[in-house]
Order: sequence, then structure tokens, then C-alpha cells
Amino acid sequence: MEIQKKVGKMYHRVDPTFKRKLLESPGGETFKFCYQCGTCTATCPVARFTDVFRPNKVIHLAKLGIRNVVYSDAVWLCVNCYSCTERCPQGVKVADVMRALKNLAVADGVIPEFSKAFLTTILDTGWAYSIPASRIAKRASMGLPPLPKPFLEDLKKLAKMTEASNLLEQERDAE
Amino acid sequence: MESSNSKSESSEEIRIGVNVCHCGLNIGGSVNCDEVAEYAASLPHVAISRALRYSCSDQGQELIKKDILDYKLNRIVVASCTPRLHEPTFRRACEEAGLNKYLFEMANIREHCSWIHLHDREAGTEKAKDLVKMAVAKAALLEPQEEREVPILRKALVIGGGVAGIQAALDLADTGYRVYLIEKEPSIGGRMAQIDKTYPTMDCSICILAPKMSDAGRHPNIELLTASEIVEVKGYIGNFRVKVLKKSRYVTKDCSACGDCSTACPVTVPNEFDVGLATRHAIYTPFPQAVPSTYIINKENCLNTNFIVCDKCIVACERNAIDFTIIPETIELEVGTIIVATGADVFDPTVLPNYGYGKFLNVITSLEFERLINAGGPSGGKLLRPSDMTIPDTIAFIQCVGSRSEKGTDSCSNVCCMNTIKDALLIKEHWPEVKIYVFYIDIRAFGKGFEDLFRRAKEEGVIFIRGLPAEILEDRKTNNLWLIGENTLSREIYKINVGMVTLSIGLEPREDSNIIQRLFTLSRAPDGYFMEAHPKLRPVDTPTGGVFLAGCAESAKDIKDSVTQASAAASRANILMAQGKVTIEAITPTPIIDNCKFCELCTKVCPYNAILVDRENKITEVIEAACAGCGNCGAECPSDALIMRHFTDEQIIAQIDAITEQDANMKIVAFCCNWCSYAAADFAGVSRMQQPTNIRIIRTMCSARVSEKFIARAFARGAAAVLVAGCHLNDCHYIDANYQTKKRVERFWRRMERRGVRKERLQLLWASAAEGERFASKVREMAETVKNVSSEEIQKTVKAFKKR
Repeated sequence: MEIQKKVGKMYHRVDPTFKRKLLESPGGETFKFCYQCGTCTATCPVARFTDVFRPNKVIHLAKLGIRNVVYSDAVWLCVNCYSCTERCPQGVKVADVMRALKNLAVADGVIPEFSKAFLTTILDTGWAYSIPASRIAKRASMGLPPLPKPFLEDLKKLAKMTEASNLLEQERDAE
Repeated sequence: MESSNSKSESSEEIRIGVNVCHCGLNIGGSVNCDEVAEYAASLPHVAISRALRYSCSDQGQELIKKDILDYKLNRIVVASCTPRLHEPTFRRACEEAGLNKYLFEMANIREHCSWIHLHDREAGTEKAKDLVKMAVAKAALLEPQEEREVPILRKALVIGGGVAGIQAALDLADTGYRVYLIEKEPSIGGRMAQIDKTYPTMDCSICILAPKMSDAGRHPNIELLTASEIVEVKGYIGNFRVKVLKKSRYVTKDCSACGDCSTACPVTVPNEFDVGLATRHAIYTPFPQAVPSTYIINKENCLNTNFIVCDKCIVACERNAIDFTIIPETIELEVGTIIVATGADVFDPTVLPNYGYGKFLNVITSLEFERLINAGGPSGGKLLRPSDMTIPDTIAFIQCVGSRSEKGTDSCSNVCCMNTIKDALLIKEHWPEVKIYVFYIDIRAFGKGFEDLFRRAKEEGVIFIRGLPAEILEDRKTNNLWLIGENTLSREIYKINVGMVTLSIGLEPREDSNIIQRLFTLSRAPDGYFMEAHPKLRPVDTPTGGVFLAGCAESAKDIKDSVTQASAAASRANILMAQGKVTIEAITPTPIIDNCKFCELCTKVCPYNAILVDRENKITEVIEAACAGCGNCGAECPSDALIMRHFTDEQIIAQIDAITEQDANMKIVAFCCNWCSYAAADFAGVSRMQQPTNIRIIRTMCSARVSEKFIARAFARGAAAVLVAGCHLNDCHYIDANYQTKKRVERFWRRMERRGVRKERLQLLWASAAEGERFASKVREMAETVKNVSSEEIQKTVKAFKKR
């Protein structure tokens, strides 16, 4: 919700150039072919549990150029299972479009809290989530080999090259 | 037709009139036509040059005619659209002014210039000048020609005995022509015979079809050839020779269709007519109204493969009509016109696992539904679901299964929406308490009376939900089905339980379309249906003269449209046969006996066996009626002994020279065949596919006209690249002539290698008339190659190919 508030302030109008932007970003090429049959949403395992995510609605709004809604939490709910892409009759690579939208959102500085926290954890610890000392002790007591050492330096280099760390810093500065 | 009044004599001074057409803004918008006309005036032999707003209009044509008389012109060049469109118009205008029509030449500055260079007026204008220069250079060498007339046999062949084929055959037979109606199945009737009712009037399908079938069966002018297939087609417009394989029925004409044999037959197999929902015997008649009304033995099902091991049917037949000694025969028909009405197949939904067709008993197709609800069908007209033979309390129809989808055909199948609405109303008529859901993307009720029917369905309580189910799940206990999907209008996810699901399957081109395509050298659109000669103005003609299309062979359509189109095709065939003769273009070769070495190379490459060489008596003859004018022989002849009329070596070389006179190092000399690749370039133009301006296209009838000396000439004159483009192999309009193209280009590549010239500079492209984008991307690719060709390289090539 926080994101929506922020984005709502940034872009509250229809952006006619958005379509082109999405078409040009890798993965977004096919979204124009959508004819709103609803197969993707009907297939989507996420849509069965929440009303927030409707892939065909996201594509429809993207076509209209309403990017504050497209940049909402919705796109981040896509789990990239590719069921929609498999069944789309028009050859729209729905999951790829969602990824392209995520990339566009990030490029505009819109990153959900969860993804930020996730990225921070990876860069700080080298793990997807921080493992408590108690669990490491338990592993040792069960005779399991110690966990491999994470390559923190390499990860940081990668983050720098992909500009992921810049994004995080910008966010921090803003705060 | 008559050309004796031609004003041109070879000794006469050549006076060319050039007309540059604005075509409104179509050309004038991106080419400076006045500048082009001014330039044309400076070219040799040009007596008058002007720019016209619309040269194809009556005024434009009148002006051309007036110019011919006022300026004593003996050659005319019009720079406008593609010759495939207006060449006949201007040729006629020339004739009306007393000029032989072969003294006319066209420069295509619309499809091949203005439309593909919309944003570069300067380069477009320069290219247009070049194209006009090429046309003027060719025009100066044109000769008047006389056309030959060939008779048209007043007999027609109709392929396919569905409703379209029956209608076309009846129309032609009623006009008085002899008609052969060929059907591959044992009975005529086609898809319409399988359907229960027709929309929007709810007429009983077989009730209105059966009278037509028996009309066709007993018409004195129609010869029915059922269980027959075409194996070979030879000849040309007006004079086709068609070989037909008549499979054996093993039942003689004495059969009275009493059915005793079938009752006695011990073999049962799924019945094709009931889409496998019922069984038939090895000796059977497909359905009670079948025409011809006689039985047939399917030898694949019969126990008597090599020896007579079972004689049940022979014993049962009182009239002794069963004869296992009948063998299949091949007959040869001679016909003047051919109508292709081969129909369509239906989509097979087993490729969509999420709908569970073939896995869940109660998921059926719309064609199976037709048989179920038909009183003559396996359930006697009762709507019984397959799992427990009860009438379901809810039925769902799913639309667009295999249509408008990458998983089937891309196009809309035209019939499924209305068919479903009709089916829903039929259910409501008999069992009003059954709940009906229709899941759709768009309801396309576009025809006369269709909206009324749609409205009636809504009034009757049929529930229409926008949004296709993504998945069908089966309840294992009840065999009921769960449909899960999204209502895209309310954005709600639905999960609906129904007793039976009907998949509204789309239509597809016939699986064996490629055989018909090859036999008649037809083209197919990207969706697989046969292509018409012009999508708007010649919708039932094919690019092959004397061959017409009707019904679903051309595209998916309903009964009414099929019948309309069948009558149109019959009428087109009638026009040809009523005239009784057709003029053949004077583009056949003329042998020069003095040059001929009687090597017989020409006879070896001729696809039509149209050249006779008699080495002993020193005679070389061209059988004009058999020759189609591809020019393959002319390209093959090593001693210049065959002059390809209207496409002579001198004319083509003059065009090459015109292209390469200036800035040859930036140019691509392209040779395109009239039927496919030139049409593909036209299609790219019509679709406004923007391309670089390097290419200059020389039109020949077939890519096999392109002699190696033309390619060598282009390189010797400093051209940066050469493109030879033709129809796809096996799709050639001259049977197999383009295999010779391939041979010659490959030979030239080896020659280039030997002389140290990069092979990339000569390209070979196969593009069908529908592949505009393929052509355009080739041009773009070659324009990149041109950029990499240095002037030293060009000089080297010029030296390598210059005649010593």
C-alpha cells in the first residue's frame, strides 16, 4: 500500500509512451496481442486465492498506460509458474510481461518492501534468509557437515554490476 | 486480339510516351512525380512525358490514347502501380488506340517504391527515376506480338462433393455443360450431411441437402465419381487432363441398397459419419440418404484381404451384387475448367490437455454434439451424455477451441458462435429445464438474422459468460465436470459444475491440402487455406487459369456463404466455357534454327514437354498450346537459339544496364518471378513494409528465366549484389522449373568462388505471394551486405565477369 501511495503521487495520469516502453523492454514484446479472453487469470494459481492479481487486468491497464496501477503490488504477486504463458491462445508471454513490468517498476525506483528486505539480506549475509545460530548448532549436533561459506564479495560485485546495490542505496538515502 | 493493325515496324523510328502516375497521394505523397516525368523526357526515344493524377481513370486512359495519335507514339510506358493490377487496363487502352498491346511496358513505382519508402522522398524519387529508366530501356526493344487462341473444352471438373461442390456442379450442369463431380468419400453430402439443423432459420440440414444430393446424383449432365481421388493433373486452362483413381466399391450397379449384406457382416468398426459415436459394418452405406444409394466394402475392415474367408455378405445378397474381383481403375478426364471445393477439417482438441477431451467421457466436440442431437444419429436424437446415457441437467459450450489461437488456426472459424447458439436453442426446444452456459471471448453474430437468433437464445435463458475456462476437472464419482475460469467482465473467478461440456471446435484446412496445392500449383495463405487470385476483386479465381475455388477450401465459412461462392465459381467457369476459347499470352519462345545446335538441352528442362527437336531433319518446334512461357528453355539454351518473346535477352539486359548505369555499387539487381516473389514484393508494398532503397526488380514469368549470363552481366556492370527470387520449391507455377533456378544459382556460386568473389553477393530467395515480410527482410539483409562491399571489391568483380 505504501508503494501505491508513493507511485500514485509520482504518476497519476495516463502515460501514452508506456506501451512503447514495455514493448521495448525484454519480455514485454508480446503483451499487445492480448484479446482479453481471461485464460491467463483462469489458469493463475495466485488469482484463485487473491482478488488483487488478475494478469489480464494488468495487461489491459498496461495497454491503457495507467502505470501507477501496473506498478502496484499486483505484478509482484506473480510466481512465474508460466501456466498462463503455456495456455495463452495469442502467444502472449504473460509471465515474461510481468517480469518486464517488474523491471520497469524497479527502474523507476518502485521496489516493494519485501523485495528490498530480501535483497538486503542476500547482500548482507549471502543467504536468502538469515540462519539463526541455534539452527547451525542443531545441524552440528546432528552430525551434518557445516554450510558452505557464501561468496559475499562476488555477490556484491554482481549487485554493483547489475546496479541492484545502487537502487538500495538510493532508497536508503531517500529515507 | 488482332494485331495486324499494329503501327510499329522495326525500321520505324521509336517514339516512347511516358506517363508518371501520382495515384493521388499514394505515389505523389512520397515521390516527386513531376521531377520523374521531367527526367523521363530526357531519356532516349522518349517523345512525350507527363505526370498524371490518376492514369487508370477514364480521363487518364483517354489522354494516353490521344497521345498515341497526336505524337505518333509507338511504345507506351506507364509508371504507376504493379503490372499485376493494371497492366490489362493500359494494354487495352493501347489497343483501342491501334497500338499492339505488347508495345506497352509498366514501371512499378507504387508497391515497389512509394509505399515502401514513405519517409524518404528524395531517395524514393531517385529510385522511381531508375525504375522508369528500366521500363523505357525495355520498351525501346519491345516487339509487337500476336496472341494465339486455344479452345476451351466445354466440360468441368468439380472436386469435392460437399454442399459447395454439389451447388457448383448443379449450376454448371443446368447451364448445359458436362460435369464430373469427384468425392473421396463413398457418398456426396460432406459436412452439411452430418449437421442436424442449420442457423439462423433452424432448417433441418439433411432435409434441405438430400434433394440437392439426389438432383446431382441423377442429373443427366453430371457424372458422379465417389470414392475417387485425383492422382495427376496435366495441361492448362481450357485443356486439362486429369487422372482419377476410382477405388473399388466391390459392389456392382445391381445393388438395391436393401442392407441385407450389412446385417450379415460380422465385422463392426467405428462409423466415420457419426464421428465414431456409433458403429458400422465392413460393408456399409455411410448414411441412409447417401448418394449414390449403394453399398461399399471397406477392404481395410473386411476379413477377405487376400482370400475369400468369409462369404456372409455374398450369400446374403439376393441380387448377386457383390464382386470381390473388381479392381480399382484409373480413368482420364479431359476438362476445360476445374472447381476446387475440397472443404475443411475440424480441429482436434486432444492437443489441449486442459480441456480433457478424450480423457473425460462427458467432454465432446460440437460435431459429435450434432450427431447426438440428430434424430438419425446414434442416440436417436436424445441428448444423452456418454458416461451414463442420461440427459444432463447442465451443459456448457466452450467457444474458440482451436480458432483465434496459436494452438489451432489463427483465424476466426466463422461458424462456431452461431452453431453454438443454434445448438443451445435446440436443447431449450426439447428440454427447456436444462441449464446452458456458453463461455465465449466475443460472440460474432455478423450475418443476416444472426443477432435475432442470439437475442432469442438470451430470452430463452441461455447464460453467456465472457471468459474461457482455463481448465476442466472431472468429478470421478458422478463424471460431472468442474469448469474453472474468470468472468472477465466482473473480474470474478468462477467454478461451475456441469453435466456435459461441448467444445466448439474450429475449422482447419484439409490435412491433404498440400496434395491439391501441388497438383494445381495453387498458393496457400499463412493460415493454410487456398489463396484467391485477388482477395477483393477475384475472390473465387486462383492464380492458375481455369481453376476456381468454392466453399471452405478458400476459408472457413457457413453453408450460405459456401453456396454463394459455389454459384460464383460456377459462373466464372461458365464465362470461360461459354466463350469457348481463350487467348494465350504471346510469351512463348521462337526458335532460331540457324543458331540451333540440336543439343536438346531445352527439351530436357521444359516442364511441359512443349519443345520438339528433330536432330536428323534439323527441326526445332515449340508447341505453343502446351507452352506456358516460363522461359526455362531460353535460360538453358547455350547458343541463343530460343527467343523468349516479350522477355528477350536483349530486353532483360537493357534493364540490367539501365540499373547499373549510375551508382551501381549501391544497387541490388533483383529478378523476381511473376507469381510468387514479385507478388511477395507487391504484398510488402501493400502492407507498407519499409525497406532500403537499393533494390531494383526485374520481372520475369518464372525465376527459371534467369540465365547465368544475366547475373554475370549485372556483376560485370558493377552491381553490388544480385537477388534471384522465386516460388518455394514444389510450389512453382511451372511444375518444377525453379529446380533449374536452384541449379543455375548454385552453379554461379561455384563460379564466384573460383573467381574469388564473395558468395553473399548473390542471394537466392524462395518467397510465396503471402510472404511480404520474408521478402522485405531479405532486402534489409542484402542492403547491409551492400554496405560492406568496397569499391576495390567491385572493380575486382567487374574484371572477373567482364567478357574477354
